Amino acid sequence: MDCSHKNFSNKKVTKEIFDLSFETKTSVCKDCGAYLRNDEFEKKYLHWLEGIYKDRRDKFQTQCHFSKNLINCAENYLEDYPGISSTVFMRALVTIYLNIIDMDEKKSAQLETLLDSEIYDSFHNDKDRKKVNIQFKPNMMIDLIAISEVIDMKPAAIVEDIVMKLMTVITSQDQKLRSFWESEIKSYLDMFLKAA
Amino acid sequence: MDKVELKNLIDSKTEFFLKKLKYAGLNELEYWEKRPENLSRELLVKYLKSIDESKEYFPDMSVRESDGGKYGETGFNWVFKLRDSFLLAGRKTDIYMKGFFFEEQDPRGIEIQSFKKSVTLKSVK
Repeated sequence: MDCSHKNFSNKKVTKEIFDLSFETKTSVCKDCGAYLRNDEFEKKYLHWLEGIYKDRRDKFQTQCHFSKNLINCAENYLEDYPGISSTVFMRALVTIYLNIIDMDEKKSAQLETLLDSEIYDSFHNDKDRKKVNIQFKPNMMIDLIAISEVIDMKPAAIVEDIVMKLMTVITSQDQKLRSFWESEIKSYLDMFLKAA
Repeated sequence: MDKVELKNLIDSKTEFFLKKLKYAGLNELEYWEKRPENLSRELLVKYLKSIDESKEYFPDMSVRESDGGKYGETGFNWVFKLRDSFLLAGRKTDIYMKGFFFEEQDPRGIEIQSFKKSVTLKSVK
């Protein structure tokens, strides 16, 4: 039975993230223990996260391992974007995937249908890999952590999967995939990389 | 969307429910989070952003039983319950949500009392 949280009191709550504790006062349901995350709570929470971001950048990094071939392909692609590092590029791919493709079931289904499994598998199964640390802003990092808890994948594994998918799109010669890239992703990527 | 547009949207008899939910929730959201049974607020916001506002959906509606809480007396007096799905890193995730709009005299947000993964039982022949 769903609780309607009619009995509550103002209490201190602790939210654990990155092995750190955020503490604030908010309404806590006396019947079920749920606590209220309203806009006021979020403001304080994001302010706290920004502080952590300044002091502990390591908490906002995902340690990924990519095929050296994938990294080479990314660097080749970036020849048209001087000054942009491959890690910034990969962060852009993840941001675009989660905020554009994931927001639209049709786009996501189209991508999954068109993906060239041979290229994806070649990135996935390549044993010649290199460690890559990708840093995210607080909002993006807490989204990744929230997603990882539900789909039971570590944030780094989610990032690796997304980067491999979009690098498959970039490197494929398939006309439909090229067209998907041009119409659905490239303009967002250009915008993101210009701002980086 | 400005305050007046949002009020008109929520009060409208012709606009779709999911569109009202999306814009009200992204404007002002009161979420009772209870981990791990319920999903986090981050995912609730992600769900709201992903709503296809042109989709017609009729949620289960019932009279709100409790008048406790910040908007207990001023919130809309009916509760909606809905089942839907959204994508998390490309994985389809079914969800269940229960809540109500607030406030009747100044419609602008939603209070979500429950937001969790929905489990659909398959019939066994």
